[in-house]
Formats: sequence, structure tokens, C-alpha cells
Amino acid sequence: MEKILLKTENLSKSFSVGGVMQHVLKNIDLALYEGDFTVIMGASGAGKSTLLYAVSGMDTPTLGTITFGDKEISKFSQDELAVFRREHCGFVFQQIYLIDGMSLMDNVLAAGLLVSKDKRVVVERAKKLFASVDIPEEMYGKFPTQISGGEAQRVGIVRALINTPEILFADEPTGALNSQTGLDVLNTLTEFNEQGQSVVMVTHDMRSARRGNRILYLKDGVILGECNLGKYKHNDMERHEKLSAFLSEMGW
Amino acid sequence: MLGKLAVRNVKRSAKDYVIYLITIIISFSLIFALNLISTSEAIMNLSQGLNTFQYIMYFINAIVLGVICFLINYTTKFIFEKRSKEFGMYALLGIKKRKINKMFLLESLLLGFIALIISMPVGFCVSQFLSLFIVKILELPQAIFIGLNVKSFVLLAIYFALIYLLVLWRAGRRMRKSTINDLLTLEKQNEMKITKSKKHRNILFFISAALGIFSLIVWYVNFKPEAVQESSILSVVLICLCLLVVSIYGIMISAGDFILSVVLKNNKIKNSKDNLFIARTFSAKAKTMGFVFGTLSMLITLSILFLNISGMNKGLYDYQIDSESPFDVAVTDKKEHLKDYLDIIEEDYTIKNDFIYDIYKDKTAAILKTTPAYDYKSDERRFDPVIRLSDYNRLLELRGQEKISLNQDECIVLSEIRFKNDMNNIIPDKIALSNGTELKIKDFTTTGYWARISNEYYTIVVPDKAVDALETDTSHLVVNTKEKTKTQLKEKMKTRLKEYMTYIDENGEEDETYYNVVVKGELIEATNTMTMIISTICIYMAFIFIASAGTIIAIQSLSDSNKYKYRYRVLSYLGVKDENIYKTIRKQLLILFGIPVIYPILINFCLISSVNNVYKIMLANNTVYLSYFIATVLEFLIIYAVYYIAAYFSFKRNITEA
Amino acid sequence: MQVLKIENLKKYYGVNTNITKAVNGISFEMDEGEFVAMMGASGSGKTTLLNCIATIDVPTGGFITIGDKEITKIKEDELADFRKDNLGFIFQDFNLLDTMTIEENIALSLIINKADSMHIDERVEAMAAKLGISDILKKFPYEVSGGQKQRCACARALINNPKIILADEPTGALDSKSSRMLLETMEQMNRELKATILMVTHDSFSASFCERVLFLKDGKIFNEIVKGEKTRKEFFNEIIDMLTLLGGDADNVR
Repeated sequence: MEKILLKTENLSKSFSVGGVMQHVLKNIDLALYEGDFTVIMGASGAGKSTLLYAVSGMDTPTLGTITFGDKEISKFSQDELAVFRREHCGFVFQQIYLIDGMSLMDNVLAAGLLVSKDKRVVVERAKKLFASVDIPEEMYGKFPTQISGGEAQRVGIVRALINTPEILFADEPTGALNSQTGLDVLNTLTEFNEQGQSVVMVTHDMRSARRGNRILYLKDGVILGECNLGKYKHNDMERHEKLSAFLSEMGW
Repeated sequence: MLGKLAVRNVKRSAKDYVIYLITIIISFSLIFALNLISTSEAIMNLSQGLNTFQYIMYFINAIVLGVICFLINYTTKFIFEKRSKEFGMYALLGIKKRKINKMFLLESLLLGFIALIISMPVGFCVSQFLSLFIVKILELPQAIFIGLNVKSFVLLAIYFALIYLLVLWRAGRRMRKSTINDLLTLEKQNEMKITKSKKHRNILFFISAALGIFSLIVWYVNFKPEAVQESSILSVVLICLCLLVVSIYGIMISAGDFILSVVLKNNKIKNSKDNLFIARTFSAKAKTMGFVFGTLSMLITLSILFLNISGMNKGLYDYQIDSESPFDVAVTDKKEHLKDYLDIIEEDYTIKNDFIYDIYKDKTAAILKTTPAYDYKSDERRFDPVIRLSDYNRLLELRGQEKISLNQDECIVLSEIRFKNDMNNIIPDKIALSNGTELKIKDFTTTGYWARISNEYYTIVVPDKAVDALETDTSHLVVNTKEKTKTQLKEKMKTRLKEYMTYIDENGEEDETYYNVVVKGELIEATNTMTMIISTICIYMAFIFIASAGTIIAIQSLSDSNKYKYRYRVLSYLGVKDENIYKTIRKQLLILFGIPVIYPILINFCLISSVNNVYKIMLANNTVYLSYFIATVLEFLIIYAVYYIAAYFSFKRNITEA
Repeated sequence: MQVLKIENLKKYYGVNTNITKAVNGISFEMDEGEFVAMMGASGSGKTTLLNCIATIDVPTGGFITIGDKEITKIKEDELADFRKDNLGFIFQDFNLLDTMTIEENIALSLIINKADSMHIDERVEAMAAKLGISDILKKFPYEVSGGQKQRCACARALINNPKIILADEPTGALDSKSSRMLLETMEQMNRELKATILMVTHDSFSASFCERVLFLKDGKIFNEIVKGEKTRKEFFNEIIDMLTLLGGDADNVR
């Protein structure tokens, strides 16, 4: 049995929109396992991103509990969540969110130095990560506005992994990229997952979803169904068909 | 790490918000300069009027600080919203919100502090210029150097602290209230707001316009010469002003939608050139900025008003001088003394002409009897002052005016405006003098009256024969000199002829009658001082208001140029030439800057026209106020245009950057 | 009738030792009414080529002729007019003006071309009907789906009867269902309205809707295949095989 990294019980999240209460997440019980590439899918507005924000410590739930290891993060204050996030979570977003005013290396260091005081160690780790995403040393000093979307997102992944987080959270990581660069990013995520990094990704794109081994389908605030695709293999048409079948069953 | 980031952020902010920084620097410089002037003993001792300047400045500065605070707060909020995504990223990385908050507050403070430091030497230079200006106006022999003093620095520091305390407090609160998601998606939320359409905006537009027209008409109808004296005018004025304020906000909030609906209704307009593009982008902008537009419109209205006051004020003062002292020197005293005055004048001045005349007493006091004042006067003061026709004509001649004529049975009553108003319906047709002469009142006029013609508020001009057997009340000397008279002349007279001008009253105390001597130069100097103070204050406030409005519109449009670069790229793809794109941008900015100005100009024109109804008699002629108004609008437009031009070039540069 | 002719086009970046040959001698032709796809890995030069044809970029060498005009000879300040009269664009990120309605976005193309203001509305409605977006004409871009936005872009590109429509990864930002709808729309545009379309894409599914597919590699045309009588599925497989030859993988499958 794989180790449980994060567990939710009766997780609910509601927002007040224009005076009306919207119940986006309803009593979700969920467990995330070590080493998984978990994919959360669903129609737009089903609550995928909301679920991601809740389990990653970006937002506190309206009801229910979220337990990470032995910490009940659903009870944390804003400041405690900030510390939790920097130490245990990595984030990759559709909009990438690199800081324009800092070089690529500085972007990664900023995240790394929040946790570790030893700059040398952080730089070493950064260099290794940069190498594994094919970003050469010449580019360390460049600024986000000077590089392509695909390169920026790969830097985003490096930044997300600099503090060796237990879980890497990705919200539509290829959404803003064209097909080729999106592919590179997916390959990077897959590689890291194969090396043991747990990944949780939200997407509405089948091609991206296929990378996951565990697919969760969210509809109307609940997890409608789950599908196990097994580990990703290059050119695996069988997984593609299994996923298609699952999704049409879910009503996608 | 974060320190480096903060410094880099400030550098970037400084570059993006150059216009804003410059406005703040100029504003602080002006405050500092005026502080230095109003605390400079050398300047304040120059004249009586200037002494009060310091206290007036405290009050004025309070208003100015309010506006600057609004500007700085608005810009800080604006910068926060622009960078909210960045702050969201920091929070995402796991930086505590409190730390992010502190960083932003420090950046804002640093930006303001830089402006403050630069404004000090600039303000110092400005104060020297102002000093030169004062010296010239008051025709002083040598320049006065404005020294620095601790008080001014302290005041400036206090003002800065007050403003930033408020601004930073509000900024901190804003940050604390936002969740990470809010920060990351703030801009997108705003975008949704932009395109959601609100119906019924046109109704608001027409109601506001109607309110405005209504209040202007009420103002015009009620602002009559007679009514000005009463206190009920105050409530009318207040109501009109309140309605106008509501009207201004209403129109500004609905202007964008109104223009859009006009464009959309007409196919020809909608489908030609860039009208649709401009109307749509403007209405989108106006939806998010409606209230701010209203405030800017208010500021602009007030600034044009101040400039108008400053302009008309000079004209009014000219009138005042002429109605108090048409001659260079006028003295009231016993006939024997008058020669001594003349001698003193001759010591320093060349006398062009001089004339002595008497005012007689008519004990019947037909005119006085018709006023309530008759009861208050002591027995010996119960008379009508009378002057001979030939004397009066000589006086008219000396003033360069045409002589008048009277039949042997006619007279003319000259009076002060106020006096005439008091009398109103009870002007008699004829009067009988104490020596038996009966005279018809040919005219009861306020034209040609001046304050020191007699010792009362009115005088009756009668044919020479009619003063037979009447006692003399006072003798008067009027002198015109070749050179312009100065205050020192009066001081000289006060010292040398002290015994003429002081007396012991019934309580045994010493009283002075300095008012019996009027030296034109002294009056001119006093009104020049007042004019200068009022003009300085009006122009100062007007400038701050215009600069604030211009700055806000400029930074709004500049942020658009960054965010919406792609709009112009699309136009380029669709085949619009570069020069046409620039033309479109010019038009867009013109509308953005221009719409908040149109209504204020109209309002000011109406207000000034009706005020002119009351004061037109004091001005050169009925239409000179128009030239003041046009000059005012031009002054306003010149300063405003600078912001328009700066915004245009920055916009263009942002668009063409790859 | 020949609409596009490209002769030995070259586009180089950089100087001296550091030259990148983005387009390195490409020649091909397109006739009126053709629907052609250009495929290739990123860096193969397809976007650069498209930019040159679109008059956004200036080629280093070679000639491009659209209709009967050689664009390389047009003066810079007349390029905008040329674009206006002859080209239509469909971009990956839609590029619709967010403050204007769908209807107005489409009309913009006509307005810029100084069409008769009285008839613009009718023409827009007619075009919208043909593309199946009549019901969203009064809506704003943020209110409609990606697929509908892209169909609006198609309408805008088409309404002015351009000589050629240039599409840059039009399905890039769409999900599979919307992509299919868009491609069917473009096919319809080509078939019924005789639109000439040159589409740059990375996606085999999209390319399979075209009659001709050009494959670019390292700035040159590697190969070209023609649909002819094949079904779309057959053509699709042929494209995939060609891509594998070029060095792609099954991830080019939708």
C-alpha cells in the first residue's frame, strides 16, 4: 500500500458570489499517495482549481479537514500556511508567474532561500534542476521577458522543485503554451514523476491528462469517478483509449 | 534577496510613473516654497496684508494636502492593483503576507520620500522667484532673499507624514483583506466588470443634465444685485452648489455609456473610421472610473473657478481704488490746515493740479429724514451734505470726465450703492433746503460717487446760488501729482501733522482721524498686496487641482497602453496604417482628457455670467468678464495640455516597444 | 488562378558567426480555393514563413507574390493597405477586441476597409449565419467559448474577401470538441465560400482537414503530401507517418 501524503475528510468550500452562496466543493474525501501522478479533470467550473487550492494550502476550506502527514493544515493560520507551502509544496501554474524583475536564477533562488539559509547548497540544487530541464548555464542571467513560454514554464518547474516538495501541484501547466512546448513541459513533469516526485495536476486537456496514472473526475463539486491508467509509457495507445472510455462514461 | 527586489521594484515604479512623481515633486515644492515665503520675516513685514498671509496659508494648505493625499492614495492603490499578480506570486512561493505588505509599504514610502527630498531644493528656488515677483509688484528697491528656516522643514515633514500615514494605512488594509486568489486574479476580475453593461445609464445622464441646468438657472435668477445683500441668498447658493455636485458626478458616471449609445444608434457614425473603437474603449474605461471621473471633474471645476476669481478679482480691485480714491491725494480738514498738507506734498512731488472745495450743511435734511439713520444721529449731525455745481464740475474735470448741467431748480443726489438700496421706494421728487430753495431731484445716481466726496454716504449737487446762507461742514482738498504717490507720503503727514489728525474724545482718550487723508498710492499698494495674495492662492490651488487631475488620467491611460498593446497590434494586422493608429490614440486621449473638462467649463461660464450681473457695474464694461473667462480657460488648458502631450508620447512609446 | 507564389525565400537572423537560418530557401505555390497546411517542429521555420507572407516580417532574400503583387517590393507605409485589401488572419489566441461585441469585431474588418456604412450590418449578419454564430453576435468575447471566438475570427478574416487567409495554430487554444467544430467550419469556408487558407499547425488532426500538407524541417520544405481521393482518416495516418519520419511521436495525436 502506498504511503498517503495528504488526506481530506468532508472537504467543502463555498463562496458568496453576488449575494448567492455557491457550494463549489461538497464533502470530498480524498487521499493523495506518494509517487502518484494524480490528474484532476472535469468540465469548466466543476471546481478543479478550487480543489487544488484547498489541498495545496492556498486556501482554507469552509468545512472539513485536510491532513498532511501529521499536520491538520485546514486549521492553519495564513502565516502558518505560508510556511507550509514553502516547505512542502511546489506550484506550477498556467500563467507561469515568474517575477519579471528578477533573472531566472534569482527567481529560483528566491523560492529556495525562503527555506534554506545556505545559498551554496541552493545554487547547486538549482543548477542540477536547470540541467535536467535543458536550460543551459548561459541562460541563468536572462529575464523572464527574454525567454519563450516553454522555457519559462520549465523554469517554473525548477522553482517549484527547488525545495524538494513532497507534492508538485500543477494547474493547467500547458494551457498557455503551444503544442510543441506543451509537450516538452509534459515530458519534464513525467520524467520527474518517474524519478519519484508526486505530482497533482489539474487539466482539461486529454493529451496532458494521459500522463497521469490516477485520474479523478470532478463534477458538480464531488468526485464522480476514478480511473487507474498505470504508469505512463511512451506511445501507449491503450492508455489513450482507456482514458477516452472513462471520460465518456463520466459524461465529458 | 528581497531587499534587492524591493529596490529594483522602486526603480521600475519610478520609471513607469514618471508623470506622477513629477507632479508630486512640483506639489511638494510649491508647498515648501509658500511655507518659506509665509515664514520669512522680511517678506511678512513688507505690508499689513502680507502679515495675515501665514495664517491663510495654513488653511489653504489643509485643502491642498487633502487633494494631494487623494492623488497619492489613488496612485498607490493603482500601483497595488497593477502589481497584485506579483504579490500573489510571492504569497504562492510561501512568503508571509505580512512581509509582502511591509515590502510594498516600504516601496511606496521610499518613492514618496525621493519626491520629498527632490522637492526641497526645487522649492527653495521657487521661493526665490516668488520673492522677486513680490518685490516687483510692490515696487521695492531691492530683492529679498528667502532664507531657509527650521519651521518650514518641520511643516513639510509633518505634511508628508500625515499624508503617508493615511495612505499606508489604507494600503495595508487592502493587502490584508485580499486572499492569494484575489491577488492573482484581480486584473481579470476587473476586466469582467468592464464589459458587463449597465442599462438605464442614459436615464442617469439626462437626469443629471437636467439637475445641472435647473440649478444653474436657479442660481442665475437669484443672483441679482439686490438679492446679494440678503442672507437668504446663502441657502439658495448652497442648494445650487449641492445640486451641481450631484449633477457633475451623475454626468461623469454616465458619460461613457451615453456617448456609446449615441454612436451605436447611428449607422453612419458607428461604421466609419475609428468611432466605434474609440467609443467602446472609452465606455469600458468610464465604467471602471466613473466616480473618479466625477471627482476629477469637480477638481477641474474648482480650478477654473479659482482662476476666474483670480482674474476678476484684479478688475474688481481696480474699480474699488477708483471709487475710493479717484485723485492722488484727498484730504478732509479745516480750511486753514489744508495749505500745510499741500506743502508736505510739494516736498516730494510735483503737483499737477489741486483744488479746494466746501461741503455745506442743509439742516432740513430732507434726504436723511427718509432713512432710519436720522434717528441715530446727534443733533449737529442731522443734515444733508451739499456741494456746489461748479465745484462738482471742477472735480469731474480733474477726473477727466464730462461736466454736468443743472437748471436753477434742479439738483442731483449722488450716493453709495448701499445707501441707495436702503432708500429704494421712498425717494422724494423734490426737496426744500433750509434756506428756502426748492429743488426738483433730477437724478438719484450712484455713478460718479466716491467715498471721500463728503463725510457722508451721499451728497446733493445743487446750483451754486442754492448754497447761500448754508453753513460749511467740512473743507476738502484734492491733489493730482505728476509722480505716483507712495505710502510714505501718508506716513509723513501722520507724523508731521499729528495734531490735525488726532483729537481727544469725550472719554479723554486720544482718537485719530487718519481716514481723513487718502493717498492713492497707499490704496494701490494695499490692493496690490491683496490681489497678489488672492491670485497666488488661487493659482496655487488651481495648479495643484489641475496637476492632480491630469496625473490621474495620464497614469490610467499609460497603464492601458501596456495592458492593451495587443488591441493596437490587432488593428495593425487588420491593415490599419501606423499613422492612423497614432491618430486614433490621439483622439482616444483627447476624449479621456476632454470629457471631464467640458461640463466644468459650461458651469463656470454660467456661474461667472451671473456673478457678472452683480459686479458688472464695477468692471470696465458689461462684457469684459468674457475676456477674463477666456483667459482663464486658456491658462487652464495650457497646464492641462502638458499632461495630455506627456501622456500621448508615453503611450505611443509603450505601444511601439516590441 | 495563382494566389500565392513563394520563390526561394530566405530569412536569416543574427550577424556574422551567429546566423540563424530560420527560412533557408523555400519555394511553393498556392492556387485560389486551396486549403493547405504547413507542419513542422518548433524551430522548423513555419511561423517565420507565415510572418513573411503576412508582411509582418521582411525576408532576407527571395520573393513572395500574392495575387499579382510582389510584397517584397511594397513600401513599408503601404504594407498596411496591402494587408487590409488582401489578407485575412486567424490567430491561436483569437485576438478579438475585448471591449467590442462579436458583431462589432467582425464589422471592424469592413469598417477599416471603408465599406459602405449602411450595409455593414447586413453583411456581418449574413457572414455570421454562414458560420453558425448568429446567436452570439451581441455578446462580448469573454462571454463566449474559445471555439465561438475562433469562429468569430474566421468571420472577420473572411468577410472582406481576402486573397488568402493565414491561420497560425488556430486550434491551439481549443479543446478537442471545439477544435473539430472549428476545422469543420474552416473546411466549409474553403468548400462553399471558396476561401483560400494557409494554416500553420503542429496538430495532425487539424492538418488532416486540408488537401495539401507541407512539411518543414530546418528552414526547408522536407516533403509534401496531397489528400487526393483518400478519406480524412487515411490522410491523417499518412500525416502521422510522415511526422514520425520527421521525428515526432504519438503525442501529436489529439
